Amino acid sequence: MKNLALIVLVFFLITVAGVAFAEIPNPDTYVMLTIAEPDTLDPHQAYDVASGEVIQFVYDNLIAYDGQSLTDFVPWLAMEVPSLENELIMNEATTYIFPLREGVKFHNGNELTPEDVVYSFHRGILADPAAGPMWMLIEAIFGYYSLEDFVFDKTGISLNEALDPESQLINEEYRQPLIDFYQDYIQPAIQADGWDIVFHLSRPFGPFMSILARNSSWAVILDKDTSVEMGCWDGEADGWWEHYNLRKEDSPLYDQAVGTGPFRLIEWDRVQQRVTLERNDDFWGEKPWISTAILWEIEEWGTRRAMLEAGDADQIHTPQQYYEQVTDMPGISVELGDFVLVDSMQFLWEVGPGSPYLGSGQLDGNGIPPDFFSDIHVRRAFNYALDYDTLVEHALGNLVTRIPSVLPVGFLGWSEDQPRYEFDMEKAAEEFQMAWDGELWENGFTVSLFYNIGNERRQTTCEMLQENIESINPKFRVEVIGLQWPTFLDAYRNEHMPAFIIGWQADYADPHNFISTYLHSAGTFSAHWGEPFREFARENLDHLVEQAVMETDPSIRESLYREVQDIAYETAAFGLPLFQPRYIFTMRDWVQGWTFHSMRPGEVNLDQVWKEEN
Amino acid sequence: MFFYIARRLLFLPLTLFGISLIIFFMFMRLSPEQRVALYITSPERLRGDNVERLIDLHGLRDPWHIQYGRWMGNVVRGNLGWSNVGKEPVYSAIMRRFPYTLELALYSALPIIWLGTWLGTLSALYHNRPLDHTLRISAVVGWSFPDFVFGFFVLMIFYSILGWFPPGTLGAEADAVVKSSQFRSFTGMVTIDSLLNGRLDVFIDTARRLAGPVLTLTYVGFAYILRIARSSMLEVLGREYIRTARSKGLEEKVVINKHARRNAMIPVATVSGQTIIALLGGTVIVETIFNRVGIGSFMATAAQQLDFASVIGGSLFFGVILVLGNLLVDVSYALIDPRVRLD
Amino acid sequence: MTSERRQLIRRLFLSTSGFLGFSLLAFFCIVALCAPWLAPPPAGRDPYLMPVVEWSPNPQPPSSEYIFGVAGKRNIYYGVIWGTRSAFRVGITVTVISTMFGLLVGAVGGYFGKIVDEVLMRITDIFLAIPFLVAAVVMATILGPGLDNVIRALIFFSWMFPARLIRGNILQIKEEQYITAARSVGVNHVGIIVRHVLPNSIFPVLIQASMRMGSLVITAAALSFLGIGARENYADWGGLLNYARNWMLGGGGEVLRYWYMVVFPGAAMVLFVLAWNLVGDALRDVFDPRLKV
Repeated sequence: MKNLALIVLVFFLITVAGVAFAEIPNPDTYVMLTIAEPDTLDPHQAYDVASGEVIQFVYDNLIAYDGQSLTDFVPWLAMEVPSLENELIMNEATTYIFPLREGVKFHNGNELTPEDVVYSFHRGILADPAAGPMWMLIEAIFGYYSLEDFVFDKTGISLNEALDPESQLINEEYRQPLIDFYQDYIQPAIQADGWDIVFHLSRPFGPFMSILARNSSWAVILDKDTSVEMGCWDGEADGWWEHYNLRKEDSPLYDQAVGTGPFRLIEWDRVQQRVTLERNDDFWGEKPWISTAILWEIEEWGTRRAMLEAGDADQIHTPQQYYEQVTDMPGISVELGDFVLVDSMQFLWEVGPGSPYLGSGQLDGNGIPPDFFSDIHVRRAFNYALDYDTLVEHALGNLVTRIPSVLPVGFLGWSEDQPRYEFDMEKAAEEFQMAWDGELWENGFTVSLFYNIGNERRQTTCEMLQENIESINPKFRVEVIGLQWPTFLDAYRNEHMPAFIIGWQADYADPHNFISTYLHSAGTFSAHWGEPFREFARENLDHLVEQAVMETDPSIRESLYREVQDIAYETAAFGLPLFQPRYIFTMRDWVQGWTFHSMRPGEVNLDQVWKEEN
Repeated sequence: MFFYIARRLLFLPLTLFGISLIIFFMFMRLSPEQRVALYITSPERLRGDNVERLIDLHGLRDPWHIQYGRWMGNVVRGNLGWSNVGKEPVYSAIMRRFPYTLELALYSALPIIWLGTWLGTLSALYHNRPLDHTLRISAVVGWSFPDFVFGFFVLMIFYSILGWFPPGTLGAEADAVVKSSQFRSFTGMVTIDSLLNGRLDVFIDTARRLAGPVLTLTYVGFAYILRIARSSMLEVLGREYIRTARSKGLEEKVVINKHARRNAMIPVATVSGQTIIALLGGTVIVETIFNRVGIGSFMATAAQQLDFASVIGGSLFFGVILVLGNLLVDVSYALIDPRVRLD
Repeated sequence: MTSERRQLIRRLFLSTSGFLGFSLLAFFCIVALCAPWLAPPPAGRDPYLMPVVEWSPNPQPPSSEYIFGVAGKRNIYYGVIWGTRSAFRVGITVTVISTMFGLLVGAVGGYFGKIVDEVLMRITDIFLAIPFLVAAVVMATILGPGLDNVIRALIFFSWMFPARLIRGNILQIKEEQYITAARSVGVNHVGIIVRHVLPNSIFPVLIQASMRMGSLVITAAALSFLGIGARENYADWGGLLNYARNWMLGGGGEVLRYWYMVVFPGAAMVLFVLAWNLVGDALRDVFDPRLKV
């Protein structure tokens, strides 16, 4: 027994003795603590921040954003940024030419060739994995939302039905049409002409450049030889469908990456949830300062913060609600920045059948009818009833920027003077009195507002709306319900929630990505707002949204987007636009060279930071 | 004995089948949309018919017997499926995380058993005197502490204030050493491997990170052993032969150490075995708050994200561990104590 | 009541742990009963949903208005008071229902033996082969948030413990003579179980139940702590501790800055669990026949 005590004592002493103190620990290594590990490293499957964070440093795009700008670009793997002036954009903005940089080497020593670039885009488009990012390029170049639609439209073949679970053709008669499809449509759209890469778009598409820009993982350049060796599509027309819509684990690029970027991938350790990158000393551009970068998922906020405090981490992801904890921490510096993400409350003009969230389903005080929000006065009343100032300044500590519509600040079409609803309880009451021909005011209602559990910002917003609306009329009841993401998704898909808050993060920096999502009758969100809305959108909005994206003149586009937003404001068709949350970037004060870019996946420019005591 | 062991082992597949059914039917309560949420991690992925495409891709709308048959067919072929949480096949996800949990459980078991036995005996010897009350109350207080509250106290004091016990499993530097080609892995448990490789620095790093969780588990766990040790000791002390020995004038120390303690330890031994097994399944919270790699935190994450393959795979793994572990305990109990019959 | 029994009860209440345990329990009972007066809920609202008292998400230290401070925009005091009811509800519902069910399974298995026993015990083994917390996490996630679902999940995975205990006891008692005697006189099965077997094994079950009560409350809180327990803002100690989860390590260089977020709900919970454990301890001391020294 005494021996055991001794062992414990020795163990304890060794442990304590192991504590070391250093000025800047590991000056050449940057440790970033995140809240997620990559979903996949295959650039054509990756559609989440954590994956993009790694991919942007391992692979390169053709062009990159110029500094903080969202609209100006600089050459990257391309030698020049195409524009109308330099005539690299031609044929009424349907042809884009990117002269490729020479002498660039992949991490394994292979030389970058135009063939690699063409292969990369072809592979991505043909792979089009379900719920992946490739729709962006497919929409931009061909005007379809998925490869499946595209193929079906051109050949009459439904890929879904033509392929068995092993991605083999069910019937040989599909083979030739599919080979032809590739050769007739995909191949001519992206071609190499010497060292020029030429894109042919089916029609002008305003946001095209931002879809290609750096930070867009779907548009990075792979090494064709290496990819084929690993087991990716071999570049032949015959059999491309065997690589279509793979599960992410079946992609050879799932956990390997050979790019031309400033860092090479050393390891993705899925047990420790850590990605280790090492400086690419043969990088064609400006080489990074730090030699090793570690992106490490630590879910627990307290642990992340403690590690930063102890100097074991250089930068940590900080949820908004813990701002107070880091503002006065010694040795820590805090930066703020707005990513391109907007929150809004969406109203379903008609709730889908079978919803358990309507109460009595009638306007009798104990519930709402399914088409509660199809009444313009209800929507307006909700917009008037939110105390924006208190919410923004007090409840959310000024860590959000209120937006008048669904466009993020600084986007084409965004304007300070965009009309918006202000907090006004009298007007809210008036609108409620007018709603449903006075029946609503007479009988009252019970409505449920939803948010996804874990998002305190959205929860607080719902709660404030609850307080205000209930105070208007004692017969008004509002319930605030948080749902776990799977249940939320289920309720969303089945159109069961009458009103809920959700956000949208920009895929690319163009208003089209927001306006079409929220206001087009086939938009990702708005298509689920019920038939009354879709009808309204088809009549009033669709043509404007479609016209705006095909326009190449920014000033015409801007006025079209202004017009759409004005209509949506008048009719309160957005639902209830809320804000763009501000992100908190917390790092040790020895971090130098950190900059913010609102479209960057992840929080750190690893290729530019270094560590040095102030 | 042979028949007993064979019989228990024969029931193992049945138990596993039962577990798989329980978990499977729990998941079948969920809608395909809820289950596909595992792959739809952000609103941006909701575009068009993506949700339906993913449900099709993973066959989540098939009738239950087809889904179960598909899973079972894969298992028979040795494929437990893909773990979306572990980002690797379920089998390797479990196998690569298990050594960390085993390590934690073993290191926690040591002080729990040692402290529990020692204090339990002490408590029995001072029966109904102040020391007895103090020990028992402090043990019960420990037992009444939720591990997540106490764990945070430990983090607060030993990491935030003192800086001794950092969270995590391995620091980045030590991790690099472990992954280098010179470092040979013998057991998968870093504390042991590092000593075998003669890397004291790695040992210290990992030991420091183990200390906090071990401390937490010990404090909330030692009460049980204490109670068993105490009552067993009391019982033995009340027996005829101890009284005889005392009345013969044998020295108290000899009576206690030679006669009483030895006999009192038999129930403690059984419970100790069970404690280790229980610890293997009871590290969920500690692994979560100390950010440790391990099967507990893996299972908790998998469950929360509704990762069917991981949950069912992990449950089966635990099933095997628990059944075999308990068998081992029972058999060794029978070997230690001749009075126990296995039947 | 026989004098021996009276003697036992006396010992139960007069032992240190028994006295402490029962007084604490009495205290919590009073708090739970008087919750509407101790912390009046806003009119017309579900009292179990903690009302918003403050819009800022930052916790606020105890003040004259909010004596335990403010966490997650809610009054901690309010949550602690009403949380007592939740704790009783979880503990008692789960313990009673799972014990009843366990009694049934154990009694049937133990009494009839043979095939019935074999089948029931194999089923019990299957449930026991999934670690309790893991099983509870899985089931609570699948059922969705809500105290009722937590209760369901805990019942579903905890009836095996009383079942096993009661079966063991019954097997022991079955051999004893009076049962054999009763059987020979022709008293029916149910009669024998209810009249002779159960009363004799009820104390071990009671002891176990009071001990389990504590661990069940902890498990329920652990689920809330992981974010899959009671609904958000439901008055529940685990939920209050979940607010504290991300503030426990302090801020701005002060480790103890948010102590009140942990201390009040934490203390309530520890004392509550302690009360049951002490009672269990005392019960065991008094009724465990092996310990009559």
